Amino acid sequence: MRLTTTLCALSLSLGLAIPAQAQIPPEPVKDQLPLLQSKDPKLAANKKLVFDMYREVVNAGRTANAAKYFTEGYIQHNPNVTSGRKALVDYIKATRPERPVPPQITFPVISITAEGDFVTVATVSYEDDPEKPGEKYVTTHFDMYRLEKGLIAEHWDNVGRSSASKSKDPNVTNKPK
Amino acid sequence: MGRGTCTILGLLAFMAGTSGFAQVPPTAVSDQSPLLLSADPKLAANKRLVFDMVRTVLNAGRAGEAHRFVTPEYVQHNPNVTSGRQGLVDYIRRTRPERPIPDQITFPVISITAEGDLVIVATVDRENETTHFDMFRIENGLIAEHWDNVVRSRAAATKDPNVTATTR
Repeated sequence: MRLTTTLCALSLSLGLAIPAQAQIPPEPVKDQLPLLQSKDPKLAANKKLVFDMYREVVNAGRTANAAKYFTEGYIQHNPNVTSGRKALVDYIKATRPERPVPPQITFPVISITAEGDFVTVATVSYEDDPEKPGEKYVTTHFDMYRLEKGLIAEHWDNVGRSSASKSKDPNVTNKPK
Repeated sequence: MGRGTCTILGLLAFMAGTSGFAQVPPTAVSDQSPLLLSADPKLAANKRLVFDMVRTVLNAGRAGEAHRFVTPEYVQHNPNVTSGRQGLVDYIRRTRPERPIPDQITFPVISITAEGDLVIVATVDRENETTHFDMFRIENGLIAEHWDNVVRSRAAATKDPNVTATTR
């Protein structure tokens, strides 16, 4: 009886402990190539364009081919970057050196999804813990693109207005430590 | 320097100003119903499920309806909310009263897109002049996992986004 009571108490406390667990940190996929697949060839092409743009422009800082990926009138909703392809090129040049083009996106990618003219990329974002100096925790960063005739014509992300983000290189800053 | 020169200089200054045009603030759609359409009935159903959950649970605070939308094991990646459906229910009850269920999502929605098991809702974040994202994974007709871009914050764990997101 006493054992039963103890077991009951134990299972009750476990039962309570499990749903009360904290945030589960988001995790990236190991291989991004399956994320590029789609039964719809247009969606697959849109995802591949965004994937190649990340590797070449955002990761490798190669702005010479920006016209392969962006419309001239590229609409920018990130509050720290001005609109237009030229402004994007200037921002990339100001924030990172040219590097070798990696085979996959070097950010920790969670998902790449497409519907209609939209492609959305979710990545793990390593943030400074406000209550534990020197420690990081994770949340999710999103970039959404609208494509128009095979080029990226518009971009949204969740970056807030910040003068620091105008000069930082996310290839360096978005790390677990 | 005649008036003509001044006009031309003024025009050039104006053109220089517009060629370096700043960020374009994101804008919401007025009618959300076209965003729920899909040629794929599974994607349309997944988007509808998320649309109804946001209206019923997040907007109207009807935590008692959460079981219609969310799995018991609901995996939570928001750093301020605990995992599990109970964690969501507690968070909703702590942060907002029950309100009438609106016809559409009352947050300023930019887009609702779906592929495979994922549904993504993008909304205007007026407080930070940017875009807020929520991504949901659907499993057997219920929401099983959630990611968003919220950062760790004690204030975020207690605030009602129906008040803070729409009054700015």
